[in-house]
Amino acid sequence: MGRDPRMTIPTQWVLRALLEEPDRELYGIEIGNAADLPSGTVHPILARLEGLGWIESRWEDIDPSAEGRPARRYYRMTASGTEQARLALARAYRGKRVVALPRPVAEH
Amino acid sequence: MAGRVRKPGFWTVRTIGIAVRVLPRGPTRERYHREFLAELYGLRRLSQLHHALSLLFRSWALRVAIGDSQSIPATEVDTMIAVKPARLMCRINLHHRWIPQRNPDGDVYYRCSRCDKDRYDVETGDGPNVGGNIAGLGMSSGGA
Repeated sequence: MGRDPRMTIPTQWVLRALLEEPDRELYGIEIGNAADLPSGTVHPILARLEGLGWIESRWEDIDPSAEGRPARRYYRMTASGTEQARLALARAYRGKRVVALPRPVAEH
Repeated sequence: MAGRVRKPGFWTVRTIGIAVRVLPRGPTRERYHREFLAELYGLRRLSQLHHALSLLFRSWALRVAIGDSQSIPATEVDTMIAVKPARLMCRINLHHRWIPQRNPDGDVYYRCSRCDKDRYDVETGDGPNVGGNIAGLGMSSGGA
């Protein structure tokens, strides 16, 4: 759908939190708690991911007067976003590994 | 029946209001305002304040993220390029640079090369800077 977001550590944590259960919907604070990040850090990441189409959001379908609170905004991974996020996380992880294999010694 | 949910405090709500001020006006700002307030319900007072302050301190990052993520369709980009920003002298109608144009019917009219404003009464001499700024097409400004 578009280019990958910058895979900063907070972005990776947010994606991992969402990918634990891709079909589950979470709202901002729940994602922050799962990723162990403050809300101010989480929401810019969610906005970027939503712009890329990796996640989608919707308003909670409740009766605010009955619940005693307004509807929350829930986020969840899209099908294509799940795949792209997994690939992006794998690339980000692979990029950090230091592979130092000894060069084979040529036999004379 | 839902239990009593802790409502956000006055200063927390004000902080959220300030936090969303940097966001683009309209549906975006309203959405995030509503979303951030909804997240406060059920939190303890201190957690509410912590949440609101966290959003406030990172509000510009959210603004940038929203700006980056809002893709502009190609047709809109073309339109944006075509619309020139109006210069001050054009805005206060003191100095336009009228260039003669022809409409599909062959009639001559004048368009400001700076702000794209059109004029059809240039021949009568109405308006400022009519004579001096007309790039002639071999037509006199006074005649029909």
